Amino acid sequence: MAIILALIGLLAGILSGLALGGGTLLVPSLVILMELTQHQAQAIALAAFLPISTVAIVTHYKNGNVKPRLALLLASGAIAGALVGATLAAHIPAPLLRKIFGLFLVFMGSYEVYNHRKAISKRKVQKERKKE
Amino acid sequence: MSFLPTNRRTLIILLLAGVATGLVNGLVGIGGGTIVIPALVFFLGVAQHQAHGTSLAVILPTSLTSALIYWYHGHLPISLTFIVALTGMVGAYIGARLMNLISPKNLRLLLGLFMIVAGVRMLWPSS
Repeated sequence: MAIILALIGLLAGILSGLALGGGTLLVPSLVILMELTQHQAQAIALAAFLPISTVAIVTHYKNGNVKPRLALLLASGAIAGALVGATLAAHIPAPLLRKIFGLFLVFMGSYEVYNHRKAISKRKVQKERKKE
Repeated sequence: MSFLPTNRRTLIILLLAGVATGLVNGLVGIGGGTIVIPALVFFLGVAQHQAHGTSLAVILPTSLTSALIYWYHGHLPISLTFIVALTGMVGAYIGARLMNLISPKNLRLLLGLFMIVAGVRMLWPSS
């Protein structure tokens, strides 16, 4: 079981290194393959993100890609939201939380696919314009 | 206060986007960037790579807050988290290196399809 967990962690890490977001792979894998509860899987995704992202933030900051003022303002709202959201999650039964997560995942996945298709059609239009 | 943006619209967008990000982060444990990045890029005109860096800096304290609450309610398996964090850091290093070699565009489509399949699977009642 530890080997599967390590593989899941490695894959999720690669995705987050590619800036694609590792949690979308991590949470369903932990629930379906490792048979953890929805709350446990989400808690692992949240806590594991901390050391993984710290290195990335330092790198981005050095390259001048972090806007501290915007980050601080966003974070103040986000921390307040997180207090409410996480407390809410703690009071939702695991099977329902799993469904909420599933719905969120389908929604985000559809958005990714839609964006990809939009990018392709945009490129086609640009190519045709060049031909003209 | 010179620190705050003079534009009231900007301030409201930042606070609303922040709260929405936190709510999603706390409720489902993932996906803060999905709100922060579009808010910065489309509403405030921040460059994509700066939006990405800034979103990470926002999600770190947000995830810490959420993680503490999950831990407080006894939902955080410490040893499993340790394994995921360690292997995840190795993976993130590999991923960042791969970024220069491959275009993540098609990978993004693959991940999107995976998300739909996994999401539908999770909507089913667990057997």
